[in-house]
Amino acid sequence: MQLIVEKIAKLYGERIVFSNLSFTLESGKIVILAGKNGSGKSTLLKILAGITRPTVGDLSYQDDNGQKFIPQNKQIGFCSPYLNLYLHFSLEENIRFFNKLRGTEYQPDWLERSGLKDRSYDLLKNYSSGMLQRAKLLFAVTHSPEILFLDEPGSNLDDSGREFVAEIVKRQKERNGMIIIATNDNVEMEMGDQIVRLD
Amino acid sequence: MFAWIKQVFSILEKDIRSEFRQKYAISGILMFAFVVVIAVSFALSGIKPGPRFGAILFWITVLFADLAGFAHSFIKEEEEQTALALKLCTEPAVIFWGKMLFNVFLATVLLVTIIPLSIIFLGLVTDHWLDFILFAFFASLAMTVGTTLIAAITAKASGRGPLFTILSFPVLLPVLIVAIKATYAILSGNTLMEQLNELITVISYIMLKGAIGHLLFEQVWQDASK
Repeated sequence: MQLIVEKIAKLYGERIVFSNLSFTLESGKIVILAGKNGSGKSTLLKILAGITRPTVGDLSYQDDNGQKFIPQNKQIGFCSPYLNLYLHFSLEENIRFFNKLRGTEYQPDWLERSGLKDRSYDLLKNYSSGMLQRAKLLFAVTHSPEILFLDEPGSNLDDSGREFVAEIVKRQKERNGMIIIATNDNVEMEMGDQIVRLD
Repeated sequence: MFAWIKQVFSILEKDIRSEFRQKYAISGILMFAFVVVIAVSFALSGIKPGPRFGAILFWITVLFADLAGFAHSFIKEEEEQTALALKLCTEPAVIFWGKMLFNVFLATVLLVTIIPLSIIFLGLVTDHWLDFILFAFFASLAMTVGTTLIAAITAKASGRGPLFTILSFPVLLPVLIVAIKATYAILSGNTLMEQLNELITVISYIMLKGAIGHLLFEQVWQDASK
């Protein structure tokens, strides 16, 4: 699978976030989107995930046979600081609900790996910020997506949380899935096989 | 198709469960209906309003209770930043119809509450209760479809609260007029069959607004996140 990005630009009003951006991403490789604050990493991630559109330019996904396709919801995993889960539901309820919506199977082993199994029946409003970040990571991975987008995945996480992120990335790579991470964290950047700089 | 319906009901189930935990919309709607009916009852000091004013009071109360609560299901997703998670998991039409069903649920709860209150405090009487309830259900459904459509359009706008009310009023006005006219007739002794034109108008409105919502919501949902 490939993601081909051709001369895309994003403008908010008259402000140019980024312009003339072209690159190709391949599955099985860890791609890092790097750049200073406000350089458009999160915006680019949203464009690649199909959440928002570029102002100009084009991007397309191609399967192994070179056929273009539009990824379905169940093929995409997405975690970002501006995405929230339902705080008045437990983690278990959130995961089940979102998997029901996607029409995907819930992979329960992820819950154990996240370190949240003992608290999975607590309402998310009682979680710490680090636990919420782990819950968001679970939202992104429990349905085994083919394309995984992680925006600042290590934010608010302790060492074991960061190990959880590393395990997610490792497993996605082993499955030959596509992984795109927007980050400024040096440790996370070291995981990358390819870096797209937005500076 | 079956999977699509299952997803719509998942949204409905989630919203009902969320509502019973947070009491976000239902308490507002019911309190509004209760306060209006009781206040009008006190203002009338025991005088029965008659079929014309009874019909007007009934539908004005339903209209403003709808406006007080029906935007919440969309607005809450925006305010709590959960809309993106929904968007990542399913297609826009599923979200639209799931929210619509939730508002139908709220409208039914409102009717179940307001009809007995109106009988007790406003002295609404008719020989054709089944006709009255059936028409009230369809007219309320029409208002629900109209308000859900406007709620979907305004949810991502700044100043969405006032905008929702301002935009809803002209959209709901035709239903309100037809509903008052037919309810007045039923309270005056007519049957629903004699008000068939009004019933057909209301059902046509439901189908038209439902189709518009189904077609437009994807654009609203997509464009607002640009």
